[in-house]
Amino acid sequence: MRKHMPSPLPFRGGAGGGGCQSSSAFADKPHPNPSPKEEGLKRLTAIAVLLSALIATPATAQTIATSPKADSVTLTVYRAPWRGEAPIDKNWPQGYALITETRTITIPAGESVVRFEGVSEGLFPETAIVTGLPKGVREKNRDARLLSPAGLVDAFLKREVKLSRTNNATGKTVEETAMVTAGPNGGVILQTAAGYEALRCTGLPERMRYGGVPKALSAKPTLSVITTSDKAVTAKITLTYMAAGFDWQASYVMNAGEFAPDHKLDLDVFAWLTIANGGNQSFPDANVMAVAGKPNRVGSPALPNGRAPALMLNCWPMQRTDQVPFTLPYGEFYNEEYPMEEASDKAVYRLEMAPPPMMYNMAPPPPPPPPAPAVVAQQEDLGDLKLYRIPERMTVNAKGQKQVAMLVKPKSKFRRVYRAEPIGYGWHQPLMSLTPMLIGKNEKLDGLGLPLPSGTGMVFENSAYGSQLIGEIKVKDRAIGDDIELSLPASMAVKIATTRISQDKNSMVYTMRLSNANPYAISAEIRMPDTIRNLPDGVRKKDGRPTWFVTVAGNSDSELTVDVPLR
Amino acid sequence: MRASWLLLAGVAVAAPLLAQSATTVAVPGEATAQGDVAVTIYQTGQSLVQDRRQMSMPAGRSKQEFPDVSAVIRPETVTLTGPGIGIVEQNFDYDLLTPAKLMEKAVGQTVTLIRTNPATGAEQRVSAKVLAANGGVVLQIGNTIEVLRDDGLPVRVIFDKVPPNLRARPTLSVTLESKGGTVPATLTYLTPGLGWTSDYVTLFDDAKQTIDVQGWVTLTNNTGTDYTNANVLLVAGNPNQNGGRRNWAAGSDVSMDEAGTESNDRERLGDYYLYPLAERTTIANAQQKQVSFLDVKAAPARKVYEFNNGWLSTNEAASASSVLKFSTSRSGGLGDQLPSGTMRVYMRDMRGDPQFIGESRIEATPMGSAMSIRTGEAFDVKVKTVVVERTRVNSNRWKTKMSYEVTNARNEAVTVDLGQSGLWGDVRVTDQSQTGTRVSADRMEWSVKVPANGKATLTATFDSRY
Repeated sequence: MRKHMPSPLPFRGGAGGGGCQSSSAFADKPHPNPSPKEEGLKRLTAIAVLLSALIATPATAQTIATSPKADSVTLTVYRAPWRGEAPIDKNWPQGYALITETRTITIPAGESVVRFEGVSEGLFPETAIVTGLPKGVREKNRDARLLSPAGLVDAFLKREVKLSRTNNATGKTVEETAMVTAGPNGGVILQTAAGYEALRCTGLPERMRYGGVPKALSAKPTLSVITTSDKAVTAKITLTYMAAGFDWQASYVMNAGEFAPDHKLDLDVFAWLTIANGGNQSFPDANVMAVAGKPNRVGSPALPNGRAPALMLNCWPMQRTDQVPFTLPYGEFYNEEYPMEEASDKAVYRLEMAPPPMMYNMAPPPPPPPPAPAVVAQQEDLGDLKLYRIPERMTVNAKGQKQVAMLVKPKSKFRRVYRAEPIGYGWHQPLMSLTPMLIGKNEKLDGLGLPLPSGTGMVFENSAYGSQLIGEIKVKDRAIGDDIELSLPASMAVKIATTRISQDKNSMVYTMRLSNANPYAISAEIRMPDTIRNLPDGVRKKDGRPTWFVTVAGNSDSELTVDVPLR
Repeated sequence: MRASWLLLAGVAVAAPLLAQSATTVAVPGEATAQGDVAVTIYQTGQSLVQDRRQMSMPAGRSKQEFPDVSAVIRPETVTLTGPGIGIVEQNFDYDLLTPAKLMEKAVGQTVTLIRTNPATGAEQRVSAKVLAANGGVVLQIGNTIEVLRDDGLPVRVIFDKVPPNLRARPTLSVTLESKGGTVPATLTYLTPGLGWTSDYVTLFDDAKQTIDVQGWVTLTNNTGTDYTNANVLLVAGNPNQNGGRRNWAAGSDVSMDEAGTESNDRERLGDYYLYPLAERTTIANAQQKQVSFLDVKAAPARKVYEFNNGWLSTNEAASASSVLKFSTSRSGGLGDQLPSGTMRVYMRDMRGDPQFIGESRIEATPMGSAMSIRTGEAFDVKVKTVVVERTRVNSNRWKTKMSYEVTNARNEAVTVDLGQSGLWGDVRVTDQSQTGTRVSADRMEWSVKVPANGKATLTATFDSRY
């Protein structure tokens, strides 16, 4: 049952849309299980045939076709699943991306291995999908045996290399053939014409020369597929994969307007779509998208790690008479004249782990946003998620963060309400500051009415000294129709003092005095324990909790006494 | 006739060895000492390797080393079988050859020193006896005692041989008795470091309510050894060795609603399913390999919303889960068993490009099962729970009135399967605004219909006795 799909046809194997034939991938024949009871001649025939097959058709029957880079890239960035409203970790962003690359590649006739270069290093190989090959994909491989000093020694173990020694006095170089007898763990031992020797324990300049790069070693973990073709073809293929090291969030910039006497205010809501790429791979001229919402993620099993251990050319104990103490471990001794190279991957590791040069919160507040940005990301629904598409092609740089406007909603209607919860079950806080909240509803009527993705933001207010920051906020994912509550830093001017004036074993009686040192009236909501049964005047239930709704005039105060039953 | 076959086999064995030694500075990569290799990979982290090698051995007792076995082999599981072979002993030696060990074992023996004159470059050979290797190397040269390279000048130390028990790699050796000649011997052992799981690529079509599913087996090799041109058999079963299930937490990622009872012609091994790879393949070290095993087009699927409230408490609006439901049945489903793995769900965006919408772990699933895959949280469908009233009837009896406000910002009506769990003790529902189902002693479920761009409120009163 095959349906018509718009092109291109990802997740389909070939031009015909056949995909990988599962029926052919697993034949229904029994697994050959050699039995020692088989009889002589038959068995020997089988062995001879097998052996000739092994010798005649080694793996070299496959041709290697390399795809060096992508023609075009589409990048969809997903947020770090467990970050909440915390800032993006620029060092190594914890989100991920779905990357779709189109590549053009020439495939020879017969069986060939197609190697993909220039993919993101955060690639999750189990998510790779390759489509557009004439006969689909027989198998996908990700190989991680890396080309390194230790990797070379490992690959050439029990094999011949050239050992050259340079005479320090005459400058003459003598080269001889040696066989690697042991290594790379704990040092390298070579067999030369003279006998057995340890590499670099002599104090002579010594160097190993290899005949070539072993096929199994590669500069980076490499993704490849095995495919077959009847004839040589140039195919346009699509490679889709997920990769770690990306993240995004909405960065809100809000400008609060005049604070009206009815506690209402206009808030200019603007948001940047902030995309971070922590990898070393740039994506020039990419179609960039971001997805809001929470797609489920499960942990991936650990990848096979082919990282060769650092090549440490340890020697035998090398202490001299003038060196004390002699109890240092052998491994600490290097040849002083020719210090061993540090494993290069170790050095890279240190670089990666270096702290970021800039702290997240140290950047000065940017000027208010321009009134009409030229490019605004477009939002569409993707199932139960929200997709933001940047309408133009953009370059996402390696180790870079990029911002594009994603929503512009000037003059949205908000209220300013002060909140506190000074009394709990059996305890109270004698004096506390109230938290100013900006409260709105995500409705068209109020100037919003569009999905608001989670992120961080800044709220500015005009003052005699121009627009000034009044607080940093955190925004959660908000659907259309949701309440929006933005909490600002605690107020210095609005405080609530709570005193326990009497208590017995059944209840406690408190008096609260709410003071407002602002020259203007404020509206406050004080939440109280839900054990209160007889609600005093001015107290109503909100979300099941008794709440004191009160307006306090400028430079004045207001009092309430409540009886809180203990059970 | 028989003899000629033997001869042919012998020549065939010798040929690659000759070829190897003849080339100087060859690039390694092709030669392996392995013979006809069959690898069976279980999901318990153990794998069975059967390596059928042609071994030429002398008549009588001989010691045979086995290179190119797993570097993390479990030596106690090794079995060597072959016609006319009698095992004397099996050894697994892992004392590694290093320069320090080489010098330590040379204590008491004579080595050759080659000193190079730093001014002239002239070489001078002397014979020296290694007296000790504690911190530094103490040598006896003629009648004098000195410390190796005490002057810091270059000295080559030449050893005549390497000690017999030190090896570059942990080595398996078997001492055996044989009649001689070339014998097909089968080496069988268990090794950790090989494993497999499944990855499913699922493309969901919301309009047609169908899924296309491709299954890939993903196998990994961390054994330090390549298995060249191997027959590979994968055994599917629950990797939890003690059996059992982890579904005690209601609303967790359990993917199977109802276990199926169907079977197909897939081969079995006891209660396990077998997945033989159709073609021989080389599993390289540090490799992750994927091979396709399932390809189903347009199987019916539907999307539902689920929400679970764990306790009678007030919570701000939280997203409902988006759940994809389908069957693994022969009729109207995927029609196969699903080995445990990860299912990734994609959906096409407005331009028709597939986008990732979430993934979920699935356990080993028999054919005919009803599946529900939680793909993520719905941005637009939320539930706010409120404790409207909590009344004390007496010291061990409380009445709790709950309100569940379900909001839907989508342009279509949705139905949310709303669950209230945590009903421990004797909890009765005394009042509810719509009839729900008591699915278990501690859980109630309601199916709440919410209009497009609207909301629906469900209320229920729980009478709890402790």
